[in-house]
Amino acid sequence: MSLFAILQLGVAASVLFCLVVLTVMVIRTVAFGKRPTYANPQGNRFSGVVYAFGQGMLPWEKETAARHIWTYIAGILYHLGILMAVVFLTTLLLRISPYAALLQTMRILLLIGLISGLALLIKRILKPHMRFLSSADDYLANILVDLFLLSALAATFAETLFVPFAIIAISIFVYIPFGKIRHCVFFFYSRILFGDFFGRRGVVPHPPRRA
Amino acid sequence: MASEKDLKDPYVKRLSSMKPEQLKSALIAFKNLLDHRAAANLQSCVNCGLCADSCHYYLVTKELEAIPAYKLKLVSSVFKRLLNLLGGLSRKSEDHSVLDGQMVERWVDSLFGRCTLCGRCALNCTMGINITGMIRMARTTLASIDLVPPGLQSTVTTAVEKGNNMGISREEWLSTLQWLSEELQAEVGDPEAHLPVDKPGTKILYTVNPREPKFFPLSLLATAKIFYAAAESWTVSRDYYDVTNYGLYSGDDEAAGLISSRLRQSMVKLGAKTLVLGECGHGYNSNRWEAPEWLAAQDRFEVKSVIQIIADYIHQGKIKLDRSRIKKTVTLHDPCNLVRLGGIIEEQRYILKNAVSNFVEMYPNREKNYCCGGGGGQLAMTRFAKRRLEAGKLKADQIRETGAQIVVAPCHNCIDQLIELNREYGLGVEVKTISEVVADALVIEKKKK
Repeated sequence: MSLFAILQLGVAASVLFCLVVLTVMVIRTVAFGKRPTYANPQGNRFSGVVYAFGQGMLPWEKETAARHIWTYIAGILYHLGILMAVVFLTTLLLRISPYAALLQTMRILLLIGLISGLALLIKRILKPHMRFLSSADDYLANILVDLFLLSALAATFAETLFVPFAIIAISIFVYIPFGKIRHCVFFFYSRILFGDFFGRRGVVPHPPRRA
Repeated sequence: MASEKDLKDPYVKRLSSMKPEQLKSALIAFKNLLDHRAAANLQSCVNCGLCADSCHYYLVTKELEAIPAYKLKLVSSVFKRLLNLLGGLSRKSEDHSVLDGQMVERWVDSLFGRCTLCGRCALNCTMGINITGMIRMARTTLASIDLVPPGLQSTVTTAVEKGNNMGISREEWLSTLQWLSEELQAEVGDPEAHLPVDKPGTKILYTVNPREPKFFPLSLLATAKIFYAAAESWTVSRDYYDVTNYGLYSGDDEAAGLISSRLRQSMVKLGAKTLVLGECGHGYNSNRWEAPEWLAAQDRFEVKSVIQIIADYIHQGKIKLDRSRIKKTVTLHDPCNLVRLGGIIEEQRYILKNAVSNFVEMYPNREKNYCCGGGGGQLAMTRFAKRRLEAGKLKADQIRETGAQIVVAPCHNCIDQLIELNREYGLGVEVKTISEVVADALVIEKKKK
């Protein structure tokens, strides 16, 4: 078995592990049960959920984003970079060669994502209130993902660098359920709940102004 | 470490001498409160720290214990320890905590002492976590072992035992209504005008904050005048009329359910069609949104805020207002429980635009408003009064920036806090309810015989 095949298998196994454990976590979360809601709705739950994933994520709607616009932008670019790294990993594992222009775009997004990730890490280290809030997981998760982006970027230049990239990818996929990166699933869970809560009460989307 | 003075305080004594069986019982209560929503919320925080700037306590004091993510962590770390969905594997890197005496003290200090349950952090959370809901859940856990701070607990106890949170006797209530009826007759020039009590089959059963009959009877008179002008079919109950429900803040669901059930009993007894909630933010949230959950029963009648009713009167031409009577600049404070957590957002603006000559918004406003600092039971918890007034500086600055001479707040809790802020920060404003402003602008037409 070649090293490539071993790594291919390793990544597949770690992804499977991650998906299984996250699924178990979601099932166990759902298993806590649902309390029925009795209050008559004023607004629309579905519209609230749509708001939560659309308009409600925009800086002019979300004060925390508006007040921290650079963090907000860095966060978006970081996640875009992570998405690119996952896409690039997939192309490597499936032996698909992306077009040169696409590869170039990936490199730019990976680099920007990496810079954003490092900026967020530095912010966490420098700001006293961030240090106060942070646990080991907050640093570890960020460092692991930064390494993931760095190794992905390196692997776009040299095929031999696929080895460290794949090893870091395996580590991340195994780590995801044990720390904050599990928000890749729970983000959607909690935002749906957010939209449901505020949507039902008619707080979001904003009610029309009365003439 | 608790000071000598603190140790003489029976509440501090109780807090610092928690027995293992009490802690065990608290954990059981905590576990029983969990549903899938809570479990998801308690696993979703990424410690981005952005919520810090959404909390008025943190914005003013910069105290780290006021950061909403920290308050959430106090709860989620216990959840993760208690019900770690992955066994012990993630304990090394994440925060996991035992609910011991120290943690209980932290819960009391931050979750009762540095939070008004205003929901601003929840609305602004990147992940959409209902931080407010999780903090209330922790308060419910503390309530289960009798650790609600005494001032707040006594308000709940009074409401449960006496039928209203101020302990007003029935005689006092009825004589106030009688006196107000006479005032109303004099004001509108109609000897038949009165505040109806226990009138069966009316359209509206009106509920009030007991502070109105006790300290601000003219607020109640103002609402009565509006009902009179609109020729409304309405009544108050002689027994249960208290719109407030401090069980929302203490976390005691059982007491909260009992208090809310009484208004529903009055509805059934009198056969009214709509339960109309007086100007009280948390009273609206409690009775409109939370009571059906506490009682596990859907309301078979409409539950509305008096703000909605007044807005409808204006819209339908049932009352006439003369805006020119109020020339002073007026601004509006949005009570968190009515607006951000209640969904009554535009009606109060519509009313004021029709009632006053010069209405100015404060910024931010509507669901993005800042809490005045008086909610969450803070006004009842004297031990945290210094923090409450300090945190209210943000609201005081907001008011000052508008240049307004009158601040309108459709909530008596907020009004109490705003009156204190007015004094503390020398704002020099008048603080009024919506009904008071509308009553001032009201054009009373002679009743047709």
